[in-house]
Amino acid sequence: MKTLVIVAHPDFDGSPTQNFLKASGQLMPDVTYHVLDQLYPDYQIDVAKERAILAAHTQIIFQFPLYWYSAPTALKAWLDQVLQTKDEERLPNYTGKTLGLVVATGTAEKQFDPGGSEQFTLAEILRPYQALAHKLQMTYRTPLIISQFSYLTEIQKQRLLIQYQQYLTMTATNFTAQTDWFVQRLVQLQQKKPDQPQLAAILATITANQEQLADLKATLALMKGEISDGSN
Amino acid sequence: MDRIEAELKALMAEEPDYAQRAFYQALIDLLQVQTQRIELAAAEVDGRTWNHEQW
Repeated sequence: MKTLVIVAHPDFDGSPTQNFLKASGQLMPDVTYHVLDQLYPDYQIDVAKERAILAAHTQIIFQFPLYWYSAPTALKAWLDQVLQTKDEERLPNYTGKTLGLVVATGTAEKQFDPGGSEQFTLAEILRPYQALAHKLQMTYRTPLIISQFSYLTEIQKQRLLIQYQQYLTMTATNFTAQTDWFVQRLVQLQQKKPDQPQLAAILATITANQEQLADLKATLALMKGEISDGSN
Repeated sequence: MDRIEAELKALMAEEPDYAQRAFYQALIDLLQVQTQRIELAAAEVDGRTWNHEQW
C-alpha cells in the first residue's frame, strides 16, 4: 500500500510535532511526504501534478494542526483547487482509496468530549473531511488525534511513534492485523541484526501466543455455536 | 514471559536508535496485551464449560 501524507503547516520545520511525525513515518516503506506550505508557499497549486500524485497512492492522509477548528490555509487551498472542476470536466475517480487524518491539537483531547469545555467533539469538527471522503467514494478512517504533544512523557511519545507508523502502513485496526505487523517487522529486524539471537525467542513467543489465542477463540466460537444451537 | 520482557528491556537499554527503542517498548506492550487476552479467553472457556449440575 502506498501512502501519501499531505501536510499543511505554516511552520513545518519549526514544529516539534511535525518533525517527530516525519522522522517516524519516513522509516516506513512506501510513505511519501508532501508538505504543501513548502511546495506552494503562494498557495498556487499545480493541479495536474497533484492529481497525478493522488492517482499513484492508495491511501491519502491529511496531516495538520487544528487551527480554529479547521486545517491551516494550505490544505483548504489545495482542496479548493485540486477538486475543482471546470465546465464539463469530471474529477478523476478516487473510489476505493482511503482517506485518513492525523490531527494535532493544542487542547487536551478530553475537552472535545461531549460536555467538555470545547463543546463540540472532534468527530463533529472533522465532519467535512468525512463528507469529502463520502463524496469521493473513499473509505474514511478514524482520525489519529495527537493532543498536546509537548506534554507527552517519553513512553507516550514512543507509543505514538509506533501508533503513527501503523496508521500510515496498515488500514486494518484489529489486534490480529496489529500482531502481524509486529511479526513482519520483527522478521525484518532479525535479518538486519543476526548478532541478536534474543530476537528469535521474542518472535517465537509472540507467534506462539498468537496461535494460542486463535485456538482459544476457535474453541469459544464453537462453544457459543453449540449453546446457540441448543437454545433454538 | 517475564524472561522475554527482561530481554526486551535489555535490548532497549543498549539500543542507541530511538525508533528501535520505541519498537521494543511496543513489543513489551504487545506481549502484555496478548497475555491478558489469553487469560480472558481461557477464563471464558472455563466459565462456559462449568456446569452447575456437577457442583
